[in-house]
Amino acid sequence: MMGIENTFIDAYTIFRREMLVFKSNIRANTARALIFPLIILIFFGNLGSTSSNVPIAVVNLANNPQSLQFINTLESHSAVSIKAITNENSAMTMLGSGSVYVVLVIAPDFGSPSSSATSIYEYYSSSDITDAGSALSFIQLQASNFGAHIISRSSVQSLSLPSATSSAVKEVSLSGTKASYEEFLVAGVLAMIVVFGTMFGGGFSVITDRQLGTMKAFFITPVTKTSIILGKMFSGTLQAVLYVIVTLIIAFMLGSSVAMGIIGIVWIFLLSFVVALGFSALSIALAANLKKVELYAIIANVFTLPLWFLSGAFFPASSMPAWMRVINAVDPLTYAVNGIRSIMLNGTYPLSMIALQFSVLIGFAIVMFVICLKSFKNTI
Amino acid sequence: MEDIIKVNNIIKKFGNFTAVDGITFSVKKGEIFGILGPNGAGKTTAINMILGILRVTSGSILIDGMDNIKHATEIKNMIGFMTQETVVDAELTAYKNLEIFADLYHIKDVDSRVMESLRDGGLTDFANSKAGSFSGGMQRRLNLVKSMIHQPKILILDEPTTGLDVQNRVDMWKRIKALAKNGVTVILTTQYLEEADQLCNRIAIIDHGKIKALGTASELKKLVSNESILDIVTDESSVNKVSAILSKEFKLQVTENIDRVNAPIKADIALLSKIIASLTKNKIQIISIGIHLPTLDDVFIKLTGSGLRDALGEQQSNRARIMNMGR
Ligand SMILES: Nc1ncnc2c1ncn2[C@@H]1O[C@H](COP(=O)(O)OP(=O)(O)O)[C@@H](O)[C@H]1O
Ligand SMILES: [Mg+2]
Repeated sequence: MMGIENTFIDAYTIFRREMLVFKSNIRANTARALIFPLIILIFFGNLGSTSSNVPIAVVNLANNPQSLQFINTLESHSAVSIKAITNENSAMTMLGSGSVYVVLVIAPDFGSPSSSATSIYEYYSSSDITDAGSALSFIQLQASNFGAHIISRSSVQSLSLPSATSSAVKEVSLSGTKASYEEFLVAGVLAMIVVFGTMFGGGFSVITDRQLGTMKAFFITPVTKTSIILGKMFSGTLQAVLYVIVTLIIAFMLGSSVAMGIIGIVWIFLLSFVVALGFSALSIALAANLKKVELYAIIANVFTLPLWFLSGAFFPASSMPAWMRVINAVDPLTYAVNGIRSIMLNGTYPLSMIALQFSVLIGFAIVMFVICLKSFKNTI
Repeated sequence: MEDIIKVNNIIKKFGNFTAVDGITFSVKKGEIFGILGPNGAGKTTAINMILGILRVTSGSILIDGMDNIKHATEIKNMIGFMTQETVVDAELTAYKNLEIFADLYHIKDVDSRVMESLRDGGLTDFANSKAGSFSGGMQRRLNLVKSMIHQPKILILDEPTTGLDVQNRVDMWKRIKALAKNGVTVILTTQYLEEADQLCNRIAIIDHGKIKALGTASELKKLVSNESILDIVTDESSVNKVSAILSKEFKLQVTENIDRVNAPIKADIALLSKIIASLTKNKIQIISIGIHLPTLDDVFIKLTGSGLRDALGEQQSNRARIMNMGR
């Protein structure tokens, strides 16, 4: 038992050392971890929330007074600019050629009081997602005034009009009337902050410690590699959570909000914590056998950028082709992004989601920790 | 005296390259044991294997009678080590640097031990300054007291003075001698003959991963000769002529080394003046000539066929440059 106790005491010593080094350089460290995600949030988020006159095409299959009034409403705002009211085929051709970013199909049942189901279909090209994002949220807001429900999907491969009962189409995550693309992005940016933070915190320090000889200095003490890994895992995790706090504050200043309130913020921290644990361990496992920072940077990017992109951080999973959706489903980051998005946009975090997401993320952290133990050698 | 470290025929291969090629030696309790050899001789590799942080390809190492891998934890508590490169956390204060390692060794009263170490290192006034702001000598002292924070019985120093200026080097020598006086067994590696000569009770001369000779400084010097050494430095092109004269006319056993000719000789001024006269008669340009007691450099030349300094390449190239300028 003494052994296990010492393992944790030593892990805490390593953790303290990492945090002291981090603290002594806190401004540079924070800037390094935050700059890229914040640029994305500020530029893309604002693109989404302020870009106006997004070209759209409308296919009015309902052609009733309500649908005409809906189109008038859209026209009277500057958020979107209706380029054509036409049939499906030419609208889809326009979308394909990029002359419009969104195609809106108003289903025949639009405005009918009996219809509580789908009545507007949105198609957008994923290459125009940032512009389409603001249009989508605006259209959504207007549609909700008409009691209409929106079905969205990326049109990249599919140019056929779905039937009203088609189950192949999926709802885009832009739910909630206040949702903007910026808020949609915040969850993805938080995920990115965690990944960047852990890559700089965990694995990076393993390599610099090895280069500077500190690792050798640790190895000649009785400290075990388990303690070194745990210390670095938790310091990388704490650093990532600190970055999340800073990012959330900035997002709030930019006008984002958390629909679930204070409890939601606590859940976001908990989610960030478990996802950061797993990615810290991943970064240490990647660095375990590397000597050059440059090589580590490349390998870390090769692992983390696809995981980040495919997590639905940047564009909804519903807009991905099937093979990407498979990766999306096994990507641990997906579960964190979905959780944070539900908390921020839907204002709820149901128990079923909590159970699924936390077990996936904790499982990921444990698997990564075991891989670390296997790949990390306490010899030089 | 009892052997505290026994190194038995250790070999280390990196791929096809053999960095350490069957080294055997023992270190006695309380002595300063020197491993002397040029850059790339395999000193650090051997040390890393003794520390257990590099696995041997074959061979075994016993420390205080225990296998160094099987009893790693006990042995790690017993050994202190200072790396060839100075390793301190530049961003942390001297105090924190020491505190972290005191904690890793589970030292009871951390604060008093750290303060004691700072005093030993002459760093009390800089306890709360970042180590990165220290001079090279101060960082080295911090590194030394850090490696001794757990008061080890054995201290291993890998090139403790390489890169230090003369003042700091002499200071480091004093510290090492004081440690030995207090009963600490010290193993140090060095490229400096004077260092090994001044400091070490026994010296292993190592080159290309092999021990060429082992003994006290005077034992090693006797390997060369009981007599003194004639040392003539001349033009490279004249080396052969000098050798020929010395061996034919004076029946001396010469060794040649680029621009230098050495031979064991009786310390006899009359003989020396005869040699000078003969060389002058033959119109040989002499840069320097003298007789001295054997040095470790002579031992090294005899054992490896080249001077330690020549192996390092520095003095040799300097001399060549100066002579070329003269032409
Ligand atoms: N990890 C390694 N991989 C390959 N070669 C190595 C490695 N470490 C050392 N060497 C080689 O082994 C030889 C001995 O190195 P080293 O023990 O560092 O010498 P010294 O400390 O005496 O200067 C050198 O030729 C060096 O290049
Ligand atoms: Mg070395």
